[in-house]
Amino acid sequence: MSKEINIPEIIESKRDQYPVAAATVERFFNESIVLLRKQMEFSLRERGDYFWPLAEKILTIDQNLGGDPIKALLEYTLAFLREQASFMKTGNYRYDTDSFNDAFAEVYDNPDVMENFYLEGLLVTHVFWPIHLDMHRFFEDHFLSAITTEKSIGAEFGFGHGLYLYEILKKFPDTYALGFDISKYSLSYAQRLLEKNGIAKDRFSLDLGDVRQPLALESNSLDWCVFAEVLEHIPNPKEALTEISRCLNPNGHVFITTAINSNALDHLWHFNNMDEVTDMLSSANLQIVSSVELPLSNYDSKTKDPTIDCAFVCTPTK
Amino acid sequence: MTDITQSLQDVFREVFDDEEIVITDDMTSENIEEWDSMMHINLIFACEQKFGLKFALAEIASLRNVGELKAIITSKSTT
Repeated sequence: MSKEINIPEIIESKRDQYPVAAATVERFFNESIVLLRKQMEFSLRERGDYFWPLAEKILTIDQNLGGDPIKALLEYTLAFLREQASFMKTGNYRYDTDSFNDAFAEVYDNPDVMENFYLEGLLVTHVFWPIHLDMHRFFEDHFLSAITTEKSIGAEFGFGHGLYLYEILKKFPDTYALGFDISKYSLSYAQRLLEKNGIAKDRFSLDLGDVRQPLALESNSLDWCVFAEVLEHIPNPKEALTEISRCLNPNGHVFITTAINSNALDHLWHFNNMDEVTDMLSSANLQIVSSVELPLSNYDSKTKDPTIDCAFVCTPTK
Repeated sequence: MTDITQSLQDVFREVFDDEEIVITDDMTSENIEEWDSMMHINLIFACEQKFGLKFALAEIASLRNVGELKAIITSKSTT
C-alpha cells in the first residue's frame, strides 16, 4: 500500500526553494486531473529528493524559451499513448525499417509536430514521466561522472531538444560539444535552448546530420558521445553504433538509451527484449560499463503496457 | 438509466474487462484501480468509436469524473 501524500502541502513546502517547479506542478494538478496524475503522484511520493531540483532546472530552461510545458506535455503524451495503444492491439509500430522517409516527412520535417509540441513535450517528460526522470538520474549518476577529461570534446547524434548537451556543457566548462540532428527544427530549438540558458556560442557547434550515413569524424576523435532515443528511430541502428564506437577514443564513453516494446509517433525499430539491445551493442564494438532497465511496471504494477526503457554507458572495444 | 449512461457503462465494462462495473456520475480514476493513463486513452478511443465523436485535447486531459464524460458526450451528440 503506497503512503498517502498531501499534494497542496508538498507544493507549498517547495515553493520558496523551487518556485518555477512549484508553480508548474500546481498548475498541472489544477488542469490535468486524470492524465499522468498517478505518475506525478508517484514522483512526488517516491522521487521527491531528485524530482524537485531537476524539475526546477528543466522548467526554468523551458520558461527561458517562452514555453508552455503543460500544453506541450499533454499533447506529446497523448500522441504517444495513442501510438502505444495501437501497438498493444496490433503488435506493430507506426513505421517499419522501409518507411524512414515517411517518419521524416510526418515528424522530423513537420513544424506542426516538432514546433507545436514534440520537442518541448519530450523535454518536459524528463520531469513529468517518472520513467524519464529515472533515465535522467542514470545519465547524471553514471555518464556525467564518467567524463573525466577536463578539456574534452564530444558529440551528440540526434540531440532533439538539446537538454543532454546543456547538462554536459554546464557541468564541464572546458568541454566542447558537436551536435548533429536530421531535423532543422531540432537544430533551431536546441540552439536556442543552449543560448537562452547561458551556454556561450563558442562552446558548441550544432549542424544537420544523418546518423544513417557514415559519420564525417576521425576515428578516436571523441572523448564522449550521447546517442539517446535514436536507435528505435533509424533503420540501421547497429551500423550507427559501430560508427560511434569508431569515433570514440579508447577511454571514451557513450550514453545510449532506447525503448523496448514501445511505440511512438516516429519509432520504427522494434526491440522485443533487453537481450536484443545488449547483443547489438556488443556486435557494434561497445562494452557496457553500466546499465539500467526500467519497465513501466516499476511505476504501476497494474499496467498492461509492456514498455521498457533502458540506458547504457559504454566504452569502445578497440 | 438513459441511453447514453447505458452505452457508457457498456464501454467501461468492455475497456476494463469487468462486467460488474456500475458507473455513477461521481466515479473517478480513484475508484477503478486499473484506470491509468493508458486505460484513459483506451476509454476515450472506445467512447469516440461508440458515440461517433472526437474529443479535444483539453477534454481528454482534464476529465474529472464520469459525469463530466457524460456531459461532453451529450453536448457533442446534440450539436
